[in-house]
Amino acid sequence: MRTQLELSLSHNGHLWCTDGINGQLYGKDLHLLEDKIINAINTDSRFINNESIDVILRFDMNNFPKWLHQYQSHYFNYTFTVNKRKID
Amino acid sequence: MLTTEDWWAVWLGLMMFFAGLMTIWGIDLLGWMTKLKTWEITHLLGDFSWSKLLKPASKTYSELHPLLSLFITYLVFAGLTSIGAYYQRLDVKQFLKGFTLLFLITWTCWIIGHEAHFKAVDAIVKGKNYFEVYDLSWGLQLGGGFSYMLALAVGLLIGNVFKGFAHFLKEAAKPEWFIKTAIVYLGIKLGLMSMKATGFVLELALAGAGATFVAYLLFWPMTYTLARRIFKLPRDAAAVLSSGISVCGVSAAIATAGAIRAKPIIPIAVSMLIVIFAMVELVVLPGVYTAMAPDQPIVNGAALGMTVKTDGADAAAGAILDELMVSKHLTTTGQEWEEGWILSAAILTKIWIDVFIGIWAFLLALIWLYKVEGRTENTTIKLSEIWFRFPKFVIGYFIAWFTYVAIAIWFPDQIDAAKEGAGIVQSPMRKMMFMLTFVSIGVITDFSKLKGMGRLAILYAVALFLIIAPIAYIVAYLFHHGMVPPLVTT
Repeated sequence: MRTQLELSLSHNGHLWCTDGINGQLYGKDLHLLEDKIINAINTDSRFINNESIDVILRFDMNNFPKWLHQYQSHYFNYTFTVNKRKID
Repeated sequence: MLTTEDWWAVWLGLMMFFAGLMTIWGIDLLGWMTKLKTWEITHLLGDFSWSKLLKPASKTYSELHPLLSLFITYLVFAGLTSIGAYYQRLDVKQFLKGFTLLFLITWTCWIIGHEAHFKAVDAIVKGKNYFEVYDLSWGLQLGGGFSYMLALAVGLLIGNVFKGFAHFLKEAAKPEWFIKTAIVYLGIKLGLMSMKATGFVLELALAGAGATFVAYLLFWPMTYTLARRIFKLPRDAAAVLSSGISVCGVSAAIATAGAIRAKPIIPIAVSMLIVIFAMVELVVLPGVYTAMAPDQPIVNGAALGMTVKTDGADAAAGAILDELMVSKHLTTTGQEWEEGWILSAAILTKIWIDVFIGIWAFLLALIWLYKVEGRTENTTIKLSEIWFRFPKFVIGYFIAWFTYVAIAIWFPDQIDAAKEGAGIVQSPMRKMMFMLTFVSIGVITDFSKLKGMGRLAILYAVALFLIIAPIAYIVAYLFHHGMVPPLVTT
């Protein structure tokens, strides 16, 4: 079974951060953050029956000054897929 | 389609565009729009009347008191922009307060700018020589350019000296929104110009393709190499800066940062530099180009389009350049170039560059993901990102342009009726949006933000003034030398 999980993505000046799975997760770069998200999904009983999960990371535009909010469609939201093989 | 500034430029633009088309059926929906008159101070003070300064744009509304016409103009634009502000989730109350003050500042500057000693040129313009009419002994002879420069100066004064007031106005100071709306209105003018000189317009449009090649395939790699090899910037900062300075300013910087997943501080810092340097270019380049090459108007316009890196500053600089060069040519030769062609050269060049940013960001994303970072699993890059980054206001511009061309081709007997409505949208309305842009762009530009930017600011200045500006001028010269606007026919 495939499902989607949407998380908020932000940057605190030093680290990328996300929340939504058992508290906040941090990573120096996005692959490290992805690894932590995958580990969190592994240990979360909500996803035990899912074969794959599309994780949608939506950037929180409040990280940008207000005058740049109009450009929000230019910055990124992205999706990565966690496969059951990885969970196993 | 209702929450972004880009789309609201299309809606505001097309609303007035369609309202203007109603003149084909004899319905004048826009004649209440206020137009300015050239006036002279002693003549005004001798017998003051608002009708010496302002009038409604069309004869249908000629009985309207000029101040009532101005109030209606305010009500319509305050109302429409407030609706746009609501859907863009701005603070509508604050927006309305700010917009009201911006409107007042704009019209005050515009009225002052029409004083004959600043505006009038010592030559016959539309059947009158205002030097003779008002018996002037001196004049700056800047045409409409003085109004723009005054608006910009007042905006900069507010933005850099009266910072508390600038903060109050910020919710409403939206130069990119106002200028993109103005560019949609300009599409009408281009449609009218196409009727008169189709070959010229096509040549301008196609030469923009050359500008695209230069921007993406020449400026970008040169700036990236300079950033990496000489200034030792990290890859992501170099890529974001290169896009911002070579392509189309803030949107390119943020699109590139998004494509390569750069952390937010990089596009924010680069965007601040872009806005400030665009202001410097806006202040400096029109005067420099006019003095340097007074007989190469289209070269100058196209060079601006490749050099000035935000839509707002490019259009604003193009408007000043247009006024300065037309006035100068009239003063020195007695010949009056049609206004709007030099501005169109600046804008068409820039639009071509803008249109491809989505494709560029998509390609960069692929290169970054697969070559630079070597990550191939899990993450996908969607083609839809090209559409997300496409500058939507360009759609409104092309709709307006091609509609008037279509009328000329298929309904030629309706052209004169269509021109009545078109004239109001593409002249006083468009110019008002330009004026609002000038004031707003000054309000949001705080030169003190350059402090602490150090290496990044120096790199930007070196790349812009030593690489991009000279190459842009050479390329513009190769494509456009000898091209001049048509002369005004009475």
